[in-house]
Amino acid sequence: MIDALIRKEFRQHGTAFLVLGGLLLLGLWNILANPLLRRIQGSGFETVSFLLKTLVPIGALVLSNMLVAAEFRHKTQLFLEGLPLPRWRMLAVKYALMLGTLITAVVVATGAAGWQSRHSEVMTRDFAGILLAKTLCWTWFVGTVFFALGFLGKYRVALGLFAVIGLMWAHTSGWVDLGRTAPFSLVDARFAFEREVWPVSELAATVAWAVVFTIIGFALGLVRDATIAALLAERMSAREKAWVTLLLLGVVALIGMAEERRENREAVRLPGAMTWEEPGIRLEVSSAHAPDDGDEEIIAMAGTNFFSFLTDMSGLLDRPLPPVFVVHRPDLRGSEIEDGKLPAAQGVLMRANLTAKDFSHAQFERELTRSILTARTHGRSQMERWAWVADGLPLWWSLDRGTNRAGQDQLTSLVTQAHSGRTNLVAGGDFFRRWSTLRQKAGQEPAAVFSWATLAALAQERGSGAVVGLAKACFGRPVPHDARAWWNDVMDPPEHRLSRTTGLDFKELRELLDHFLDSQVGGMPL
Amino acid sequence: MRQLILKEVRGLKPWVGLAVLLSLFGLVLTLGTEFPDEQTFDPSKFLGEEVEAAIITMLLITVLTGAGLLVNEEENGTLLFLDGLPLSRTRIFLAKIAAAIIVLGAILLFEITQIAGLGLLSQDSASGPFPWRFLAVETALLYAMMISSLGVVLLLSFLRTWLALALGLLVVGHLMLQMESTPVAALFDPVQLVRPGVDGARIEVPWKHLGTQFGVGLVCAALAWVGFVRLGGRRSRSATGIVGVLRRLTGFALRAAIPVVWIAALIIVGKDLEDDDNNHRPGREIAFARETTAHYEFLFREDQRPHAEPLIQGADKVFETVADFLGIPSARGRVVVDLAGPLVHHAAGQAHWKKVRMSLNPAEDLESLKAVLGHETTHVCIDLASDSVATGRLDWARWFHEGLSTYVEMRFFGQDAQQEELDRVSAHALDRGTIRFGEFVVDAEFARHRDPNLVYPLGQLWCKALVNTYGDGAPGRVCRAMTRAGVRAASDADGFWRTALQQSGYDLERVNAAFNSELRHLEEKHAEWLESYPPISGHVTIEGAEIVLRPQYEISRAASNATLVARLTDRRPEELIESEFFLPENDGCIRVARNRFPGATIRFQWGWTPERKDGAGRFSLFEKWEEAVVR
Repeated sequence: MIDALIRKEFRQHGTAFLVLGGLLLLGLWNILANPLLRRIQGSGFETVSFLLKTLVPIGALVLSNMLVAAEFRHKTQLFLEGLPLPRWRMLAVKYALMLGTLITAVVVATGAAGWQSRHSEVMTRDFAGILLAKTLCWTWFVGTVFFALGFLGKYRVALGLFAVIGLMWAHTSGWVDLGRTAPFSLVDARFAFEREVWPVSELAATVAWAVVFTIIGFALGLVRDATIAALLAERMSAREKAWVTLLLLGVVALIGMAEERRENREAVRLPGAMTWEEPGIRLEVSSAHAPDDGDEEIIAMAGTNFFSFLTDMSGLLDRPLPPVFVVHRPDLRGSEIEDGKLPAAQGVLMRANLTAKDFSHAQFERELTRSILTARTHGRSQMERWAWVADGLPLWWSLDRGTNRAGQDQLTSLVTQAHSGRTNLVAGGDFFRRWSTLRQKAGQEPAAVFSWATLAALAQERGSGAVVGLAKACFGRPVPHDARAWWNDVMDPPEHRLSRTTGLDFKELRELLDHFLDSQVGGMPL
Repeated sequence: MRQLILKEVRGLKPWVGLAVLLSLFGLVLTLGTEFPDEQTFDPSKFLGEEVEAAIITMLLITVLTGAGLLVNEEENGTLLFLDGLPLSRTRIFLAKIAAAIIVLGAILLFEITQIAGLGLLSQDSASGPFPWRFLAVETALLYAMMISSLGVVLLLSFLRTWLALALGLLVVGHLMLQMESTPVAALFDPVQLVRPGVDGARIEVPWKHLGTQFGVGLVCAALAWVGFVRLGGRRSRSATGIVGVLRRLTGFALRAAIPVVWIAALIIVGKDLEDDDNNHRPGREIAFARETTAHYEFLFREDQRPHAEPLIQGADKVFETVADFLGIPSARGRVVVDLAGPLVHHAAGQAHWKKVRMSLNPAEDLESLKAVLGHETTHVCIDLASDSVATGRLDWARWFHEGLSTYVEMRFFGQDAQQEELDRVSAHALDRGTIRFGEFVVDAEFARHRDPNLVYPLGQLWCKALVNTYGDGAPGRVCRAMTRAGVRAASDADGFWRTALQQSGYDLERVNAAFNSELRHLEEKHAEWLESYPPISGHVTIEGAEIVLRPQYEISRAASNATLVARLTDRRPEELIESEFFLPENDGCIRVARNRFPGATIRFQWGWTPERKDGAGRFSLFEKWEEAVVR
């Protein structure tokens, strides 16, 4: 009876078996014969590794569809069940045929690759044994997974996709390192090269998984007279299809979102750094070069000043501020101040040459303010709708705070610079709405000056408190890194916030700026 | 006919729903993780990586739509009902095609509307006019790609269960052809089709690609029509008569032929490969030999023995030097050194897990060969120390792999002239633009703009800075730190390296500071030498059937013994595996046949090849990649 079953399967699917086997060998030939791949690959067995990871699963999918899924979908298993033999034998024949086809194909492929590489491999018994063991165990595992999946009928594709997506996500998120976890570790980059070390634990784990899936497959095919498998094999209704699709897409979207939000978990530490800390504020200052005694004092003093600056900043931005790391880099020029562009969750990293003669604390504090604003708002402070405040806020804050020891000459120069650039500006309130045009036409620095002048004008008219209030309204609270930030900006745009904190609209603010520049251009003190 | 088309469109509703859902979930993903008003639609950015995601999505939808369009009628038993209508199979076929085209168009339009909507939301006052023309052209090209793919899918759909396998083989076959960089493969590449050349307002449509792929699609659709017309036809299964016997014999012969053909093909190809190997050996010697040392297994041809033996005798010392430096107790077995295998062009060696391939060039002296062996052995030892993490993250670690291997090579086996060459290449790189650690750490990003081989000198310089700052044990410690969970879980290259050094007790900033200082020092030291290699720019034109590159540089400054070279591609530079150098002709221009690079955008990189002293030297001095849109 077993013979009859085998002959029945061959009659039904014989051509398919031959074509499938042939296609696997075609894949092998295609890769072996490719001259570029022969140059890149270090071994002909890398071709086998590629086949094991690609064509073997596809082949197993096709075989399981033919031998298992189609049988139950077309309900032809009922005829087989009418035969005088146990159901488990029927399933065993299918199981054996499926694995037999796959294993035959991969063994032939491995042998062919071995023959082709015989002059470039040091073939030993151990090496041959390790290769064969990995090949056979992996193929057995893949075969049993798809054998079991075949019994899941209408849900097999969806569940298979869930499993694949879940595994990929677990791998990229770092929960599971698939490259080091059996059975996937059997076909990793070392497959074609490991000649001495038998992966005993991986092989054992793979065999265990293969046994588990074999049991699952047989259980689905045998439990309750195979009615479970028969029910699962029925076609999905339209509603079922919709639910499954929605569920699948929902899982993909959630995983995608979680993956996008994933950032480096390891906290940044600067070895040997001096630390200043109070609730909601943390500053670390280190030197990238073993400093001289004199330099160490300068760096320590700079750190104290920076911390004082950050403490003041909580008058502008709600705590907690992002952690700030400052690295003294003697290889940089005094005027070079770099933002290390850490992910927002890790904080702000600034690099500067703190002991250079031309190092400017005021400039550094401005850059630091800009970086903190950028980190806090995930870059939104640089967008057009907020940049008219953000561009000049660091300069205004440092001048207002008194840390910027700019003389009257510099202030007059700023005002003159702003005044002279007025002729090409957009008229009226649109000046603030089209800030990117200003940046493009006049440049980043002149735009910052205009922004400063706007805030200075506001401060002169309504007091520093008005500017602080405006800055807090714009940047005070942390901004979520998703569409809510945009929605908040739409529902509570800059003009509303300006009006709420100062009672002015853009047109009035522009008039205030013009008046300020006209009055200051004569050199009157600010 | 209209009713028929509507009926077919209704039948495709589930796929429309699926496509819309996929698109909406993509939108949800964007809204949940990014700002919708920061999705600027920029043609050059879109033609970079974004278009590949669009291609995959559209092709997937095309496959899902076309897979059952024709054959499902027979499977569902509805073909008989259709045959009962006063309509020819051809009309039904045309109605199905029309419905599929309408549905695919609607899906594409939905996707494009989203992209345009987010793009418009992200416009600011300085953005300039929205690139509607580009969007329209790109939409048309994507649509053309989908329609031509539909033809192929319709034809393959008759394979039914085997459709996925057939498509998979098609993709693999196409990738193989692409790796060969054959111009023919490029014409069939859907990615090249939907990447028109964009130069400001000018958009160069890849007409050749469009014509080729559309033509293939039409031919496949025509064959699918034939198949559909004959679908469900009566098959005579008569067991009697000569015809029946002949049919059964033919069927048996065909089935029997399959394994015979494949086995024969394997034997023939295997023989061809062996002959191929034979042809590359001058003496046609076929005997291979093997020699074992304490740490290596050498494979070579007998005719290589005179050159191999001195290397083999000194090999163990090489391994011990490298292993001591990186703190590797043993390789847990021997490292195989294949002296007879094929190598990537322009490479002296290649390393894999416990296996090295290197060429045994008779013109090279023993010290040079030892240096190569030392370099490749370092790769193997890095893998051993990092438990293959460094190779697993090669896009973030290639610079470290090559840099550390070059450092070990130079320090223990190299010669002064080689070190000077590396220093000069580093100086030249800085002269052509700022070099920051974050730039060369991500290999694909670096290769997009610069010569990817710069990772050798720059990586070597960085490793030198690491050793100078933290001592000889530092590289080994960093390699071992990579095995820790915190390092492997890093989400970006900067985080990976910062964490790896942190876990080793080191400060990345200190090493980078030392690296920067040394780089600037080299630029100053070799300033006079750099004067002899002025910057080169140039432009590209099409003249007849040729691509012509005309260089521009200060001729008076150029060293008389330097050779001008260029790299050329119509693909993205980071996709190149092996690149070819082109040399100018007598008129100073470089000429290449147009059909060698049929794409709409030609990317080129000028460079100088300095005179080689004593035959040494392996680097050319390249400018940054440039691109030009051509017809």
